[in-house]
Amino acid sequence: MPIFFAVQRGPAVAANARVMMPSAVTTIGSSPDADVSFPGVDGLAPLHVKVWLDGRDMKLEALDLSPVSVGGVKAVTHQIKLNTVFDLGANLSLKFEHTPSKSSAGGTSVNLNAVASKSGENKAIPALRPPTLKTSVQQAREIMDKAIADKAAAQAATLSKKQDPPTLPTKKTEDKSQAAKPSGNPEGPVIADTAPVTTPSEPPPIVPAAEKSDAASAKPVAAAKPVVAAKPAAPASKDPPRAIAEVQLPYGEPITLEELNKIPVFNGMPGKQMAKLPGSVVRRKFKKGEIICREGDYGFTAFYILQGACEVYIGSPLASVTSVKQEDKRGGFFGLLREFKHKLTGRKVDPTASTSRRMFIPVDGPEDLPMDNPIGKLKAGDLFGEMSCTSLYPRSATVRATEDCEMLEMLNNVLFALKDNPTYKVRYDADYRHRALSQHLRGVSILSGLDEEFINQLKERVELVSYKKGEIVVKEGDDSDAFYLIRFGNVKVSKHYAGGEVVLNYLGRSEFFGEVGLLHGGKRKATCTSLDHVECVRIRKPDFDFMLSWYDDIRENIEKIATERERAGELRAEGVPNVKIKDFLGQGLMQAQSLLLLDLNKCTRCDECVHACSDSHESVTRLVREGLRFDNYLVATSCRSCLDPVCMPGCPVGSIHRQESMEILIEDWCIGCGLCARNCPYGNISMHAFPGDAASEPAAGAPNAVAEMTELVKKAAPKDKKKAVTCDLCHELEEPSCVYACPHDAAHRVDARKFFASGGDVRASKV
Amino acid sequence: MLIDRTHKKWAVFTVAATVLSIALYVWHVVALKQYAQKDPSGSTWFGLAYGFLALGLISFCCLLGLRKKVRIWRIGRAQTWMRAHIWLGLLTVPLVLGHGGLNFGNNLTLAIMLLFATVILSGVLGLLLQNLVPTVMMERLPAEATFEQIHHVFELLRGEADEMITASCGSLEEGGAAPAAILAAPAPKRATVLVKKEGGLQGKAPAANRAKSATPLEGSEPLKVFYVKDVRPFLASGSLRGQRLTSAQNSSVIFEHTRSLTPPALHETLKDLESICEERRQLALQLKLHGLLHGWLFVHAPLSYLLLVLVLVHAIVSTLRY
Repeated sequence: MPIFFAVQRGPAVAANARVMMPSAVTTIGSSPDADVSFPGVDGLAPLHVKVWLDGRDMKLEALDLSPVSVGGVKAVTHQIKLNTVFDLGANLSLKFEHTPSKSSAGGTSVNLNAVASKSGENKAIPALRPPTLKTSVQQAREIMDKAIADKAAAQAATLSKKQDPPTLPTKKTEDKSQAAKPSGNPEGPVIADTAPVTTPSEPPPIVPAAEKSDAASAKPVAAAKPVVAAKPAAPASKDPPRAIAEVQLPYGEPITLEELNKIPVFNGMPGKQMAKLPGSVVRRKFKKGEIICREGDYGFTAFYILQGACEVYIGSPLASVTSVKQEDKRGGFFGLLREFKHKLTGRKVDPTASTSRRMFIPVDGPEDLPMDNPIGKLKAGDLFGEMSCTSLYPRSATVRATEDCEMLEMLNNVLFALKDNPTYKVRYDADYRHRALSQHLRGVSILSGLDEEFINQLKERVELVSYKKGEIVVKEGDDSDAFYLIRFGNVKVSKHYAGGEVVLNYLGRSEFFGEVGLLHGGKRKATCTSLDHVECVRIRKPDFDFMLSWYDDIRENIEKIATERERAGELRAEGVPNVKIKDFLGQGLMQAQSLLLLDLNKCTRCDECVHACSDSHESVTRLVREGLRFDNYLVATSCRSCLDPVCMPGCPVGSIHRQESMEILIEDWCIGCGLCARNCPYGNISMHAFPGDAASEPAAGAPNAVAEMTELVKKAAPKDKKKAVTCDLCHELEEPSCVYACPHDAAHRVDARKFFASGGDVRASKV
Repeated sequence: MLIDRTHKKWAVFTVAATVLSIALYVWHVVALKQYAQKDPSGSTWFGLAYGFLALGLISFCCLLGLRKKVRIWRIGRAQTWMRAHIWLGLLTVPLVLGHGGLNFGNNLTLAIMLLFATVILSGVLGLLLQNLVPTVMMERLPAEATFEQIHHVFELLRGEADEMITASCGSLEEGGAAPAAILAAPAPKRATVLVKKEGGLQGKAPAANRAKSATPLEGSEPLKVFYVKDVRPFLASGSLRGQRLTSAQNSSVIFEHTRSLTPPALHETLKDLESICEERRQLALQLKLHGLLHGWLFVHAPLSYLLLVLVLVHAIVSTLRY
């Protein structure tokens, strides 16, 4: 079978300036003849190259071929026969040595690591280069850049040639509307990193058509060979497909299938599918300044911009009541005073520092919004509103037309068909790589230390995968082979214990998982399941390992987080009883990891706990002294840090999340849609109103657009805007203020299971 | 603050300190009489020492009010401050008595002593109330509400009862069917049924929704009259003095009587009405108990600050005179 080497590591400097050993890029052929191109070798002859593989001298006779010019740089290509078969994913260690003569030894050598990977075609895989390399491999870089550019050009050429979708062989060929439909979302993950590179002589790859309702297991894209559908399509009928329902979207003019097919990205949409639900896509026009959708509103459609431009922004002020960033940052006496005040209140961190590790606010569009300037641009060809369309989540941001726009508004049947369309899919993925991927990678706090050069390389190597609702992304106990960054959707992280399954966390857009298994032991420590339509960026283990080997600070950060997650999981495991969990969970109280109990025998109803909570949270209490009673205890209405935090999934802007400890946090960029409050079964999340014109002033030096937008926000935002608030266990303080401030020893935070197991002993079950 | 086993260390310290202070006082008196032939007074070194110690403790006790204003400051837990307030406050008694030599003086010192006695007694009373009333509230008020919301809850209860009766008996005005607005109204905002303590869990459950009728049910007139005459005034905010339904026993008898006058179709409505009245009684009781639990502070707190001021004046004047 063809084996390819992706060479990942290169030397720092070649010992002999005239000899350029293989460093970053190799053009790979197929084994048993492996072609290795050594860039930059200039007119050396004879050139004897020895090859060691995993420490074994392969005793190969490297043939010195004539120098060939690749990208204007002279290079020498050697043909090497390895005559060895490797396992897929095998880590290989290659050593190349150049000696002046056949018999001499100890010449210039280089060690390279490689991974045997499977691919079906001649493909130049740009190898990862260490970021410290500079001009010593300048010429190799030029070769790589050219190779990438050539690949992109080939892809574009393939796309432009692909006008008419190939038809599948069917019994009746009269129905021309039955076009090949890509598998899109097959049973398994779709690997969709780059479209297969084909030479002009090869036909474009055809992916099998599979109806959504079919149970046929579609295969992942196999390039370079036409693939016939696993299941023959239904015999075409002479009559046009019958509409099963007529949809009437409230606004816009319906667009016919013929008109839709004239739009390039919609060309090739499954006509039969579209004809079943006429009216599910409409054309809409917006004038400059018009609001297309507002954050927090419920929506069920997505928008594709045909022409025009829009701005996407979050209209809610970025703070619950006041912005911590506006706190006086002066030094000197006032700085000392501030520090003294923080010491008095026992704050663990300086509130002037950002409480969030994020740099971007995830929104339902092609790009996330930077935290310090939450305004983004949308242009023709952009798609937004996917999450609302596929999963009925509230709109994550407000979109306003900055010039006259024309858009298509569609339901999820059309959206899925569009995303399955290979024409659109390739462009969508390429667009994501170009625009948003580096932002996403940089938005992950642990990867923020990567430099631009490395990110640009990584962008081309990652895979973009998608999962259907309920699909298992990674399973506990499986081998760890990749790191995942969530691009879209929500993922549930759960672990199996003796008593049953326990949800560890819910993760949304721009969050990540998979690092624990990669770092510790190589096995998955938890199961990650998609809660809705999920799209992920998948970084394979070799790339992940390479990244960690070159960036010590990233390695440290990831190891720290992985250790925290493991520790948090162990703590939860200690608390989970070895009995049927569902019997306890059914009572509701057993969900609680941190239950606030008020001993009614001691409580004098002085409300000091409520006042203390209010004082700790800028006059917004997260605690209500009312609720269910158990024996002589009142279960106050305050976040219980549930084992399964059902409040979390679905947040359109990912502002609600759980720390590695148990507290639930709602960040300042909450848009007040109220979804989490509705999801909480115990009413422990409340919507707090604050004046709409309390928008934070733009920071000094902020772009004019921000100042202008702030004015617009002040005009457009309602008088009273709401944000969700919930108890965060006073995570900035040493101890919850409610417990600390109770003068009568009546308030206690307990672990519910320990509490009930100990027969109501608060001291034995304190958190 | 419930005085329980966790106060043991404080109690032991206070008792020990009291015993010690009394012993020292006795020794001082004996020595004074034996060697100086004088009666004990505040101007002796011993009296002064006791006086300043008592002043310090009184000042510290007064700081509790300020401590509660800065609740989240990490300057000692609130319950530590409260325990110190109680036990060190009690310790001031032998110190003050020892300072004055059991002589209350006149004018200022007499006023101070009377004020001091009032503060101590009100504090002890408050301590007793805080130990007893919470348990009473817990047992007798399963429908307890947040104090500041009680009057709002009264309105909700009355609104709920109005809707219930109007749906069954027609308009509360003379004659007429139930107005369309009532029939079209959504489910009652607050429909509660007291849940008896079972398995340690008690709470409130919503009452079952009943179909609303456009015309009064047959035989509903006695219920309507009963509601307008007795129940509705009872559910209003304000004192329950003179109301027939104030007593739970009376209420039970009256409801039973009304039940006998109404058809079985309305018994469920009567049952709900009875539970609403029970809730109203509980909330009225809660108001009283809450008053007991906190009312003594209106005496204790201001008098404490007045005492501190007078004690400071006394200390300054006495020191200057000394």
